[in-house]
Amino acid sequence: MVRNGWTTVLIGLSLLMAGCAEVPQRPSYAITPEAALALVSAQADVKASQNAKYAWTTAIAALNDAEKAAAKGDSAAVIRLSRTASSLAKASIEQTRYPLVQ
Amino acid sequence: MTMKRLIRILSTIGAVAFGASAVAGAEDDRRHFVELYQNRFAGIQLADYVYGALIFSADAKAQYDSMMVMPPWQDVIEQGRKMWETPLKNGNTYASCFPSEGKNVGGNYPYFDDKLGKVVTFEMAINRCRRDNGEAEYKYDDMATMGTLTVYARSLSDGMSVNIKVEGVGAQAAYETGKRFFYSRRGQLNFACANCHVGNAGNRVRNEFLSPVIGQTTHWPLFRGEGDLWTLQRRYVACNALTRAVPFAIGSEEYNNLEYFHSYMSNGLPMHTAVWRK
Amino acid sequence: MTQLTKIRATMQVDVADIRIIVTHPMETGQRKDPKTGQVVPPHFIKNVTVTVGGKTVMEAQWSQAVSKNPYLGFRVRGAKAGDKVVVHWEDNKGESETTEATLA
Repeated sequence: MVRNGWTTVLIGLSLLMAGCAEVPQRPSYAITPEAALALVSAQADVKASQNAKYAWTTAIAALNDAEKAAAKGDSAAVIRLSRTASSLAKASIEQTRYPLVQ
Repeated sequence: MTMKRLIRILSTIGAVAFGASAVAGAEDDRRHFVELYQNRFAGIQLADYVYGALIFSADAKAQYDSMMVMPPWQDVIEQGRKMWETPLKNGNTYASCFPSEGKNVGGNYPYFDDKLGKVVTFEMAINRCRRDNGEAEYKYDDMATMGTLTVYARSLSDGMSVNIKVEGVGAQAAYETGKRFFYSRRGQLNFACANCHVGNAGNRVRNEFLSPVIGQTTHWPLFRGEGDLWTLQRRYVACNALTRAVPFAIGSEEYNNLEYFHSYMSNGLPMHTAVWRK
Repeated sequence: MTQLTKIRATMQVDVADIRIIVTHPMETGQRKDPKTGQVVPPHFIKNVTVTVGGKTVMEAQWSQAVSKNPYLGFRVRGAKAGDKVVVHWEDNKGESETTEATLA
């Protein structure tokens, strides 16, 4: 897949919008803008769950798989796996609000 | 009487009263568990709760007894004994860091150190001993060093009754933090420690019986299967991972506070280290 | 050299209950040393012979399949308290040990 200049721009913009000052150097992936956004969202969601100390192993595994798929340029897989990672990470943040077991 | 003095007196009374109720809180929790389990499991003696899940299967207990006749880990215990008896860099031994040369002290850990403002586990005391005597600290998750040393060192307290104290505001807070962890759902499988070990103690998950909280901490470190050495916090890591929660680090404050609450629940029960589990 | 073999031999009514444990790595030769990445060479007990009161009661041919620090337990009829129990083993490196105990 030919790397699109827009992809790089969008990744950069998304990172800025995510407001992470300490974002490490990420390679530019050869994926669609939609996939790039999904990936960045997933990264932010998982980071939030880690900061809350409630991260799920399955969320992190899905994110790792998404990043591997991005390195291969498989946009469809990136979207699928990123959405899984995001939904798991968001659910784990919800878990912090669950009542204690009696 | 000045306002300042009045406030100081009232806070002291408050702290003392709060402190007193702190002990009552922990002891109430423990008594609640004892009553809960004794009502559910008629005929099991309180002292037998140290055997954990083994109390629910005569066959498993028989296998345990057989294993304990000639356990296959004497070489590890021997290695631990050598480590304990070898002098540290400045010539002192571990025995010099503990009262009674380290005999019958294990049941007092963890305790809350008011000066440090945190829970101190037995392993932390070992590392403090190492630091004070010129040695680098052991990694808490290293079974070859910290695990092997403590499986011998804690056996010097075999037979001692667990005697955890929760006294003072700081200790109370740490105890409550540990208790909160115990009752919080974690991981994608959404289980709290309490789900398995309170509500479902005596039931099975897959093929294994779930042990009750009382007596759970009296027998660590221990050997699983054919001689795989596990410390208590290594087990916390495995349990968290089983519910698909990212575990905390062995030696982390979260696990130390949990161990503090968890150990109190075994107060009064005899310790026995280096036992066998599946 | 420290004794690698431990024996516990007791009369249980009219049957001798013999339990033996040997501290031995029982390396299969398939395990890689986690530090060096090199394969750990095979090192395992090949033969075990046990006599009670001078009579051979058990012979075993072991292989890599037996686990580390192997435990062996069996019962024998026709023995009496005071009989000598002798355990002898040899491993693939030619190391061996003979250990005695008295049937209690």
